[in-house]
Amino acid sequence: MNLLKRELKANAKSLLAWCLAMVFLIWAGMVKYDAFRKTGDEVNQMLAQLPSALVRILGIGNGADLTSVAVFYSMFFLFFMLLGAVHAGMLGALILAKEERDKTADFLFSKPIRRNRAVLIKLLAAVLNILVLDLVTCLVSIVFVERYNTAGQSLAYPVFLVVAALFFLQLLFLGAGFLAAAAAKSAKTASSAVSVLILGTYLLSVVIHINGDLEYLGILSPFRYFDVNAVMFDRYLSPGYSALSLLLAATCAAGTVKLFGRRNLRG
Amino acid sequence: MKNVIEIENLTKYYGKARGIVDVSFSVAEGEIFGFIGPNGAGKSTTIRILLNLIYPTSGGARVFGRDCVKDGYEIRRDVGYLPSEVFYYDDMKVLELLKYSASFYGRVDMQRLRYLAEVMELDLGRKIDDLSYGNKKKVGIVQGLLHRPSLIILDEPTGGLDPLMQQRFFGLIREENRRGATVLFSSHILPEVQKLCSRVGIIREGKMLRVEEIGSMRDTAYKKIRLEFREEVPEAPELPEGAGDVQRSPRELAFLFRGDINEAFKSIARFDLRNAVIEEPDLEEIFLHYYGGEDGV
Repeated sequence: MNLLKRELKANAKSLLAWCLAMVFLIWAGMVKYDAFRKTGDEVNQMLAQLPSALVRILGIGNGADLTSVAVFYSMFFLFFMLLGAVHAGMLGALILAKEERDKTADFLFSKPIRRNRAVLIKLLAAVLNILVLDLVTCLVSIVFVERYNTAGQSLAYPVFLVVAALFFLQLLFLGAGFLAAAAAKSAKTASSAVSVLILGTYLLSVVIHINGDLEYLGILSPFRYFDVNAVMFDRYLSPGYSALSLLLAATCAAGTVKLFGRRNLRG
Repeated sequence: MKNVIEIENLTKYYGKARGIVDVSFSVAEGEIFGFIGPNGAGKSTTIRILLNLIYPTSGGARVFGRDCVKDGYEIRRDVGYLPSEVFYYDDMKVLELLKYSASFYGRVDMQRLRYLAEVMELDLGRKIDDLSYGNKKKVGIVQGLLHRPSLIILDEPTGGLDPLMQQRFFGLIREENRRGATVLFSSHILPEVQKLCSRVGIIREGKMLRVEEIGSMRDTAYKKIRLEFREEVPEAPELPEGAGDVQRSPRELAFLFRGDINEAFKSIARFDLRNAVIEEPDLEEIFLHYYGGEDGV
């Protein structure tokens, strides 16, 4: 419990910063929406002139009505995913690798604590961090979306599902971060590897958006796992991809325990 | 007597770089064992294997009769360790760090914590980040001794401590030793090991040179003597018995000396000196000239 408390405290400031960034993103986006809504149809005409691939990248269908808050909010998912991937990936890589980077590894691991236990506690601390960020994202989203929601039906549930999708993806990137930390020589290499993974899989998703023939590659890019339109409008969160995300995250965690257990810690 | 540490043919390579090669020695229960060698000789490598921070390439080590790879957790419950370079969580205060450290061993003994901090004159309220190197060492000493471990492993513990603090620290170690604790004391400074230890193991370039009783080491208390002459001295001066590694120029003379210091002074007295320096030679010099031929090192 001491290590868990320590990790939560050590990450508190950065978590607060991420939460504020998320709130700002939602707030700024919604201010924009307010302007769109008042402009009315001109926005949709502008949208129609954009290349269709770009529209798809933003996560909205062709001919969608941007003056609807549900459609507009769907676009947030892309930004949520990008922010969330960076947050989770870096958190995962650093929460483990920082002990060696800051040379505190000798302190911690000369104490009576098993390495696999330390990894699992750090994992738990990281998951709690992600939960808090996603909870804030969910609540702030619901407050703003409902404020502009003119349809009779509440959008709270679909918004919750969008954030749930975000949560699954974050777990996946968290696992990747942990694995990178356990496999890489230094914290720097680990965080670079995670950045490359995020950027690479994101670019792949963009390429797939542009070139529909590459659809089968979608399984390689977590950014393609959840179709925000299906989540938002059909309230459908793909169980297959949810399970795949969890499975990949769990595999990464297991690999981390194994690799980190055999690691020669740098003093 | 039982052995607390038993190291057998321990070898560690970092990739291709040599850590230690075929190191064997044991430390008996209740003993203060000096582990001495120049920087980079492999002292920290050996110690970090004992704590299972790194894995051996071959060979093995047992602590409390347990395998240090398989039973690292059980071993570490009863070990106090002071790393050679002390790094702690910068955002913590000293008291916070010590409590955190103690929490891994169970209950925090506040009375003992305050006692140790008082002896070492450690300010518990300061932030780790603001501490000097010496003060960080003190934190390391307190956190290493706090849980009354039965094996204390000290890796270059005196760096940054002033002589008074060194004395107090040695006092604490002796106190723990009387209580029954075994101590492995690594250092590159021979005199400090001679002060505290009953036996020493000497390591150089990854290999164990020998293990000696401290009694026999005391005879080998070398001094390094350097003289500067006022006038040029053309011929090689006669030196007392026990002088070695002589380096000479017309105005300067330097040698290592081992033996009766009075004899050395008598032979020096003949010269008209501008300056004289007598100091402890560093280990590397001793090794080079007195152990140099051994074991092919």
